[in-house]
Amino acid sequence: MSFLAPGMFWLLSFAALVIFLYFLRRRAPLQTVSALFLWRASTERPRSALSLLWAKIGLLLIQLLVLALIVTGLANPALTSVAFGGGVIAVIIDGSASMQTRYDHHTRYSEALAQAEDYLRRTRPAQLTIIQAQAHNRLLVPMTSDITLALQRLRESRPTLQGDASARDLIEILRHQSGPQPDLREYREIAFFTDQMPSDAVWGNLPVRVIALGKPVQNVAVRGFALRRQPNRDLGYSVWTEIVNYSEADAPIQLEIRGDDEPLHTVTLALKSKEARVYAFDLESTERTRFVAKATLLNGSDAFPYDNERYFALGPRTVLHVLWIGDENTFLERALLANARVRIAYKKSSQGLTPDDLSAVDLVVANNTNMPLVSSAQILMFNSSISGLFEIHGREPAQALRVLQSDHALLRLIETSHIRLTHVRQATVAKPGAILWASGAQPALYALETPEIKLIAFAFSLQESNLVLTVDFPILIRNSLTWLLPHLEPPTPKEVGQALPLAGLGERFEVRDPKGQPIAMARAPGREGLLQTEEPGFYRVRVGESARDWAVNLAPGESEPGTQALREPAVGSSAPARAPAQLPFPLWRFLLLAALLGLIWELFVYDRSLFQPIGGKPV
Amino acid sequence: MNSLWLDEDFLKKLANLKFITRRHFYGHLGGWSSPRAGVSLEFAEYREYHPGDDFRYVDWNLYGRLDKLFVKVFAREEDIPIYLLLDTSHSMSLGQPSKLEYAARLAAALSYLGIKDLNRVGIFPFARNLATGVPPRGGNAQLFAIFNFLRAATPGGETSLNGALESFAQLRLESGLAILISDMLSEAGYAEGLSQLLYKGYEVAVLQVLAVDDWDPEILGEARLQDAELTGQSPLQVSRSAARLYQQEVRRYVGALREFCQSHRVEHALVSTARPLEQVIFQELRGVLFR
Repeated sequence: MSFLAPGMFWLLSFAALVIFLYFLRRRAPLQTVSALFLWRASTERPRSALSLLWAKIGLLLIQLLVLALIVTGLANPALTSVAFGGGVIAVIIDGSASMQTRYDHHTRYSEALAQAEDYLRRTRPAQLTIIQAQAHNRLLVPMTSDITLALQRLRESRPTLQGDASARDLIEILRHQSGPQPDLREYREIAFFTDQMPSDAVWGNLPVRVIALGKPVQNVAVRGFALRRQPNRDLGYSVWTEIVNYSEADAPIQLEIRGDDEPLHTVTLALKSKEARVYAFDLESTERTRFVAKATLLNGSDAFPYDNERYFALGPRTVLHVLWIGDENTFLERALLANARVRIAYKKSSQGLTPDDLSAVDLVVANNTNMPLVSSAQILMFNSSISGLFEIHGREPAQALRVLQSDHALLRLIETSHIRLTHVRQATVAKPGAILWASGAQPALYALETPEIKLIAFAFSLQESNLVLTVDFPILIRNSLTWLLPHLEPPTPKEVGQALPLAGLGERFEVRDPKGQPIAMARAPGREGLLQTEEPGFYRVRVGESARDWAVNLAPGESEPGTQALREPAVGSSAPARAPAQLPFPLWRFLLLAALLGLIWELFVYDRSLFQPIGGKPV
Repeated sequence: MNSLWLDEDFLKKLANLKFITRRHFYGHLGGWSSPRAGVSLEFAEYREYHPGDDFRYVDWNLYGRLDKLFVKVFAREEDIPIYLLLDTSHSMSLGQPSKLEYAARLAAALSYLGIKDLNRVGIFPFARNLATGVPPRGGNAQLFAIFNFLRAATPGGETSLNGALESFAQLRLESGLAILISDMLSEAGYAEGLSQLLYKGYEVAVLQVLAVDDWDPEILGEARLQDAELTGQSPLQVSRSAARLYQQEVRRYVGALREFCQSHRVEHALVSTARPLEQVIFQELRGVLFR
């Protein structure tokens, strides 16, 4: 049975009023009579006021029953599942990591399986499908009428360590399962067994019933972990960790930082219940690349241990070879040095520039010069031309900079209003590129990306701008280096279930999982170049002699099992549980009729004499 | 309401009424014929002369014919002492108008009737015991005294009919007409008190004044009942259906009182406060107390 208007249940609070009125009414009015002794034959035995209050408690129970019937009737219930078999049912089992939370003798996932099994036995659907919901959803049972087989598949399923599913993906699977002509209205009910709703839970009018799982457990987690090499020191790291105690009780926690499997730092923290604490410190450099932050609960066992470790990988420290063509600029040079280890080779002009010169460097910087068209390079230009791609001509007074693509990676964290220009160059740009800044009709910042060339061109002189004096300049240079040379960036941390990008590595590479075992790459159509991660830890990708590590962690949302259960859906979404659009048996009429009968019954119990004649006057 | 507390037209009508008594009473000179020989102008009978009789009353014509001395005997006119026993207990405060107010007006009318016929009328209020009222006297001044007393009468106390009537019987009063005005609702009963009055030679009449609520109580739903006179007692819990049983009980009680009165030659009349006083006096009490 489901309710179309469950919000009406707040009316049950009127029970307090009913109880109050009952006790108020039970205080029968006091009447004075001439001769009480003449009443004694017809009265009840004298009782205390308190006993009178409780004498007809059944009356109160009837009144409360009537209230419950009315409120339930207003909630518009409909029998959709239990009493009537048939129809199409979809069962979604949350298979995300939090479902591996351990209780005394079982896990949250096993509890979900038991409830789902019971649900299917009660609903007796004509057809059903079962989906395991996580970051990468899995169709456990395609649409079938064989409940026995479905139950067997359900029992054989295992939870994953992935993050939560996307409601949009689930709806897509449901749509494909609903038949040759996808129509979600065919589902009588979609039962979702979960401890946490998807963040994008917009179900529309789907008949989704959410069966909430989970209860608070003892759990601590490393929710965040990151390292950064100190830019101004050749050695050393800044370490940032966030530890959370999700338990109901305070917890002493030992936090250990390891680098390449060697302990680097250990500290004991006392966290209160529900406390999240950031612990940051500087670490002496030992030139390591694989770091682990591990939290250990010192006063008990952790019900969800998978989030006790968090991983972070730093790329190997590399030297950036730069070919500088044109005028030198100290500010630009310092900005490059602040962001990477750089070796610069200076060249006054591009005359005599050979392809070998370009192939030997990672980056070309051009300042106040002209360059010929090159076949391949990563180029950062200031007040310079490159034939056929970006050519500058005369000067004209500059106007305020206009941002044309604010979401471009180059402009991340840049406040353009800080930047002033006195003059800007008239420029001709190649069509495929993107103009990011403009001064009047002139492009001021231009970015071009082709398979062979990556180009960033500033169409003004650094001497005719305050750019180098702003705080945005080193950030802009860092953004430029990241965009031009993405392989220099440390590997982006991944969450379990996300794919590792392996494109461009050729045919001879090897991937090892966190346990060090090589992974056999399946060449699924359309999935080439991607490897889906299944567990947290370091995935190592080796190509020839070079190796690169990817840190894969649990999704942070999984660390809060039981307490974040069924949080409010996103704005504009429907309520978690909705009744199907077509109701086989609306029940409100029966309930209101029962309430009316209850009222009559209450009246009868209250005063039976209403149905008996008083009789004539005696005198 | 005038100074006599009763409407003048009503008083004029009352002038046509006269108390009925079954017996002759020996009182002071008054307006009622007495079995005792007296000095009135009304001839009663002859009797033989005895030495010492007043020669002025010898019928000499009869002596001439019969040669025997007979004296003429004249009837003696005496008054009747009327004692109005008024119940002022707390139960008389109930009703609309209250039973006490109604009973007081009834007592006022009876007093006027009594004094009009040159009788002595006294008021004896009572509740648990006999209280100080207005001693029996005649004359218009007595009427005003009675009216003033009745107007100031207030209810209070618990009813004890037996106790009050026995106290009254023990007063050394001339026997006369004792009119008991009360709701007669007393758990201890009334028989002993009434018997005492009869034993002392009073002619007794009971005017039982009941309010509408006394026989048709309006109990809506459940109620807690409290005796008007026994405020210290715990209330009784009754339901609406109990009213029917109560009516039967009242009927039985009134019937027992009527039966007692009939068997002891006591006049009994049931008076409802819902009926106009004039109607009660001229219709219901005519032939019982008046002619």
